[in-house]
Amino acid sequence: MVSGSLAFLVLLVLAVGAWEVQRLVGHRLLLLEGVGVLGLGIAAGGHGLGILPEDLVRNLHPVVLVGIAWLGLLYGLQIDLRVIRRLRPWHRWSGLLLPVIPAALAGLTILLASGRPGPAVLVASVATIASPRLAGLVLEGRRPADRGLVRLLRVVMAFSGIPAVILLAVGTTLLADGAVEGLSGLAGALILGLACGFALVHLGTGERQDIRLMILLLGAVALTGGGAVCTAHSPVLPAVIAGAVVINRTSSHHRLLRVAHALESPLYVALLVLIGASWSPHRLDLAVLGALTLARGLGWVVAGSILRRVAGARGIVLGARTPGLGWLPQGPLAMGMLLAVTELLPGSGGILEAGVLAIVVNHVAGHLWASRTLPSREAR
Amino acid sequence: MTVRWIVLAFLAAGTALLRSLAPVPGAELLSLGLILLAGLLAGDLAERIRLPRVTGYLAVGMGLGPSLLGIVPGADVVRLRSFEEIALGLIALTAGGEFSTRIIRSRWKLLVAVTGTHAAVIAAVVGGIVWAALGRFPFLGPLEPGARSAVALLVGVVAVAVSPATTIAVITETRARGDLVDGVLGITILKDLVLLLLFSVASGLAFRWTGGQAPGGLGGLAMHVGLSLVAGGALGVGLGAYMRWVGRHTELLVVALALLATEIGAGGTLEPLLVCMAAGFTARNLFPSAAEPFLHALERASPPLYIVFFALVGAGLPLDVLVAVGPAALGLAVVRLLVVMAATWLPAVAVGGSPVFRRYGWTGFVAQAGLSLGLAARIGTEMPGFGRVLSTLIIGAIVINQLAGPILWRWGLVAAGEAGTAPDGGAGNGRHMERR
Repeated sequence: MVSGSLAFLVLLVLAVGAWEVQRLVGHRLLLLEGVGVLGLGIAAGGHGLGILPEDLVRNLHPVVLVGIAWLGLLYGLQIDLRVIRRLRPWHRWSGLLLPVIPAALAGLTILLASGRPGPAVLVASVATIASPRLAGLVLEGRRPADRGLVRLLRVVMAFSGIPAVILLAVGTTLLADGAVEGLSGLAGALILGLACGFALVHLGTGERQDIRLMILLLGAVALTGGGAVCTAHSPVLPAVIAGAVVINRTSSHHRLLRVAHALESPLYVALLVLIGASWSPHRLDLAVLGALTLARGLGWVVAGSILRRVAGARGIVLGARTPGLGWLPQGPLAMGMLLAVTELLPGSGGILEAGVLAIVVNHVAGHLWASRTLPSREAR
Repeated sequence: MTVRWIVLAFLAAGTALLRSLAPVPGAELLSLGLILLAGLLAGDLAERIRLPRVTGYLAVGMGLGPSLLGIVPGADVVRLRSFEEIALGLIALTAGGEFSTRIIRSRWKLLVAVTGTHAAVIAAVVGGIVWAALGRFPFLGPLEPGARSAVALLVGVVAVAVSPATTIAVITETRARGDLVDGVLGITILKDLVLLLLFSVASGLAFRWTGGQAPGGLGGLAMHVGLSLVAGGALGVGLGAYMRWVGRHTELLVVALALLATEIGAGGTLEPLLVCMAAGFTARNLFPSAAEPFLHALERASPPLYIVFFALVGAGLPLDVLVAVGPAALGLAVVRLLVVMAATWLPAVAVGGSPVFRRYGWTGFVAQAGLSLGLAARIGTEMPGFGRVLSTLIIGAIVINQLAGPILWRWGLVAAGEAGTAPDGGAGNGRHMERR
């Protein structure tokens, strides 16, 4: 029996090491954000050097729950209705509806492969997410040449988490033994999120010290993580709800968001190491990986062409022919949700393996597309 | 404030409800979350009524723990032990880091005199009183002369122990510095070393008197302490070098060091607390330029861990034991308190200790927690026959000391005028000494 302290120590050392390796040699080795960390996790895992074997990973289950909940909370903290109300209505609808297209195609692929609607909806929820980070990474602070395109890309990227979380909740409910159990679990997760959100609002009012806000956020995240497993749901749904409640009910949301961002990187790196350590080449199904990647890519291409037409009808001409490829990359929330889905489907080996590789492939493809299609004015 | 407590009550009720739904792995996070939120509020409340925040954390743990409400079940207290280990490691690192060679050079007479007097007088007087009073504790049953001496000796030794965690935590939260802090900190660290030695000798004698199998002798203990100090020194050199030449991820590094010390001490070869103290001391004194960022990193990583640590200590305090042996435990605690007062004042006067130390020094040596509870539990499991009853009595006294200790220590620091004198973002005299 491995102690929790040892497991935590190994994870800490690996995460810091991975962080440093990525920082020092990531650019030289052309490693995209997070890919190097994943690689180190795979190397350290049970199928690599064995530094972080399966029993150690099992002991770190609470860290996984907290990490997933933290990423969910961070996303929820960005659902600011004040900002959303300032958007044009067609931006809002595009952001909410377009991500459903790749989700539908990815879900259909899994449904055809497994014949079960629950897993199909859950995988679709991961496929829905597009990372809002990429455009920023590629442009590196420079002014984009096609600002209209970047704006639309970012709107859809920012909104894509909402249908993803809804699909995750639906998929989890479908997995339950019966309708009553499923719906009561869903209700429990919703109430948990609302309760944690409103508790954070009341407990955080007037707080000015970052460390106190950090303790409050950690407490709320631990509650959502622990409560979610009791309701047989992933921590993502309650955490997103809690974050959304907090951001829309407090005036100190900027401070909260800053504090939440401060812990995002260490937790994300830790999650990536754990995902890498759990990744097994023997469970990888290349057919599923190819089908998933193609279905999602095709979905986003279709969504992009629809957006191009919708924008054109409003007199906005988008320079890129296939703007949908800009939505291929997936960030921390997608990784967190993939881990959540894997936890919800313990018997179905291969989803983590295919999902992780699909995210990496999408990341690389999206990066290539963005670096070619979104040159800055200075670069031109 | 009232609204916040009502919100917390709702969260606690919800947590209890969720716990009743399904006892699944990961549900201990509910306890962790509730402890963090409730601990923050209880710390504020304690501060408002001029009590140490630590007392608030302890109260939260006792209230939510298995002895009272049971919202944090005993199984969760065990599952969350990793946090306790990290927190203890950080506290020991802080103790070592705050302790500079200047303190030793300028106050070595006081440190040696008070530590020596505590070890000899507290053990002898408390042990003697217990020996004399044993016939009056009916629940111990009839004792053989050897067993009676063993009981007295072990109770005396446990009475010497203090809680370094409480001492450091109250110094940190009150931002105290000065002669009193220096003296109490130094003696606390030294006492930890002496106590290991004392307990080893006492348990050897006690086992011999009661016909049990004695554990390893003094040679083994010397090896144990020596190896711990050497390992801690080596880790300290690594830590100091890292802080000086790399200096990134410092909060994660100190947490990793605390975990590492716990792990290498888990086999029983090394003492984790000594390893951490030695590491902090070495890093601070061999790499003075790294001391400031190192101690700041400790401070930044500490607050949530302090809440969890002291709340878990509170949750682990067996309040039912206190009820069962209340009067006897209270008597033992009062006797210990009086002896601690005398054993601090007398040597301080004899070696010319500062007036504040003579007057308030004793307040820093009342609290007892982890180590004392551990020793008491070992008596309960390892001593044949009467061990369990005895450990119950000792634990009852420790509960009283742990509740009163932080309150008295905070009062002492405030009365001595040392509370709130450390620069913002710093506590203890370590950095203050560096600047002088």
